[in-house]
Amino acid sequence: MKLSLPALAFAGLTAAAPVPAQEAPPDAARLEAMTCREFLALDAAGQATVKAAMQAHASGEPPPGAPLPAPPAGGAASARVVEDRTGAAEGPDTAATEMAAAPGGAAAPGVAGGQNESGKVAPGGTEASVTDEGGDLRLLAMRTSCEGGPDALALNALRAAFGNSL
Amino acid sequence: MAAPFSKTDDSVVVIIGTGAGGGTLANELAQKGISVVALEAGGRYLPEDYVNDEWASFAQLAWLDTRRSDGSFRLARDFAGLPSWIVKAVGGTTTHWAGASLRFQDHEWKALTNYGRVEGASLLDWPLDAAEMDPWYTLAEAKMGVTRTNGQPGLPGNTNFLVLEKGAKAVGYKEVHTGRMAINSIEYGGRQACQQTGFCFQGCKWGAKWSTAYTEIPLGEETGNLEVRERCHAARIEHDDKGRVTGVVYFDASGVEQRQAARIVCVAGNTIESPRLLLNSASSMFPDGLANSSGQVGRNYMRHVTGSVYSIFERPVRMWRGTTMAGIMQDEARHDPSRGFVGGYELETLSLGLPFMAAFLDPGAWGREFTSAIDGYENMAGMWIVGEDMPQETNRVTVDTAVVDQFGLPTPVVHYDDHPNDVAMRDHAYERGIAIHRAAGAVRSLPTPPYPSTHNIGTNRMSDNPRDGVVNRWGQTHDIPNLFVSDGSQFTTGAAENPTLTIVALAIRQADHIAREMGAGNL
Repeated sequence: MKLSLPALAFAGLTAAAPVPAQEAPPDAARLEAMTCREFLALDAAGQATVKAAMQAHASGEPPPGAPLPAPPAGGAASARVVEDRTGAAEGPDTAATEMAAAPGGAAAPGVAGGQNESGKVAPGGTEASVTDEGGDLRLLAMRTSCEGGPDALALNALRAAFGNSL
Repeated sequence: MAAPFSKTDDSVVVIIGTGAGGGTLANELAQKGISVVALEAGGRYLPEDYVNDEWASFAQLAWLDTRRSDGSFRLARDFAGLPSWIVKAVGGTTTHWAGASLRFQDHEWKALTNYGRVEGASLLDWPLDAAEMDPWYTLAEAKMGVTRTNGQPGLPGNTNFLVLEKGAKAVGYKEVHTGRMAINSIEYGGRQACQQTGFCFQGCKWGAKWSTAYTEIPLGEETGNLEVRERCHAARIEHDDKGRVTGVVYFDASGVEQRQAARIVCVAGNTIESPRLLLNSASSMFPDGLANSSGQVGRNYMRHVTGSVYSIFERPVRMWRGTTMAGIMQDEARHDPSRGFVGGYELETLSLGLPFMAAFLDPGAWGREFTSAIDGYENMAGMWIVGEDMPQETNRVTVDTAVVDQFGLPTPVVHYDDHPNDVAMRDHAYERGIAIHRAAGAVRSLPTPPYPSTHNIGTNRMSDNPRDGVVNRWGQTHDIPNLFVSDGSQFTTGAAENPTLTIVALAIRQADHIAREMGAGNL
């Protein structure tokens, strides 16, 4: 059985991630002020939620509805997310197979390579195809944009991930 | 708006070259109200002119005047007439560069002190250090919009980066990210964000990558204080009987000899052309060339320890998509002699298009092994080694009076031999690069020899003691106070980092110095 990166991340996080005390309401000010450090500290589901909310916010569209996740209580989730995403806990063969497959642009079944969910053509290097495992390469691009630059605004990392396609 | 200055106006600063050093210096001086004439050997090409075709772009931009490679390095055999891959155009090699903008590490400013004497190498400490350069680096990063500085987010990683990151972390490396790049990750400086379409080496069609061609030069021209003369090839620098430079003789776009008078001359023609110009300016007062009382002009040519590792995976990587240099691994950049060499190296993702891959993967190779590697192009990932090479006095640029160019000027000869430290570093980097790709699932790895280098440094080195080098801590020649060197040729040692950011930081600092000294009446 082949597990996707997000699936592995979820598997790893189920026990490790702290349970949010409460779900915060969508908050444009929070989205605009959120740093990459805060974004990376969220678990994978939280990052996806924030990314969707930021995408809507940056596009001037209504928020998607899902409440923004509360900030995690500690930094453990951050380290774990990074570790799981890079596959450090996986065997090299598994990591290599996924890495060569997913971002390389091979179109997932039923999804045209190079197009994102809205059907816009994605920048060539960061194809936003939804893979058959449900991965979001725009989210992956946003994470790589954030990593190593914790003080950058997450909203700007989103813009970097989308180029001028927002 | 161009500001045409009279050729007899001896109040102007003449800058030769408009790349990272010359282009930056030109704008900085113009912004300070100083009149500048910049002589540029190449034509002016802007994003709408760039060609997303490797060989067509090479023909458009590359410096292809007569040159000769010499020495034992493989390039002398593979590319006898192309020792370096630099650009002849307004903007110089900033049109072609990848955009990596890394500061020197602190210890690299003092290579002799920190590495000790290395047999056969002419190591020397820079007259500068990290603390002194810090504010200038900060200005350069802001000017260039370097990612991961000043709140700029990083660029998103392409597949080539993800392969590097996966493998590097699997073998225990930690410092791997999408780099500090002078490529807009978001709109900045009136230029749009990178659209991840590749072809960074061919001139950025989006203008997202910083290049003096469409940032510094037009900004300087807008002041009315900068005039750029395109397709004007500097032939020699003239001086008076007191030994001060007075003007530059050049051939204009029609091949007609002209002379521009000057208060100050700044040489920024890149590491091969700058010493060539000084050597070709020999006179009865300076029989060995200008600023060459030490005999150091042309010596200590450095090009970084380079090489590449390309690996083939079972499934497509399509490394050509996205930024050409999409990620950097810095764990090996430290100085750690236990590895068998001094200094360190970076591993940076790199992609070549198929036409260049066929030319550079193994020049001269043929047969099944080579063709099967090219067959694997779609499944290929790549990385480039950038390491600190040892300065050697015998690695040098000289001029051949028997072979002249289209203007009748003696042509440059670039001699380079690898130092044993360079060989040990490259071998180590090949091994680590292959290990990284294998950890990410590579099925076949191809260590690739160095290409004609874009990192050309040294040849007019900076030194405290006039005996040891050509210029002082300001890039001012030891011998002639109104003659400056403003490009990568002033590097004392090369460090492991891509040189452009440091060239720009030095140019900003030099402009500040020149303006201050002019104001004080000292220049």
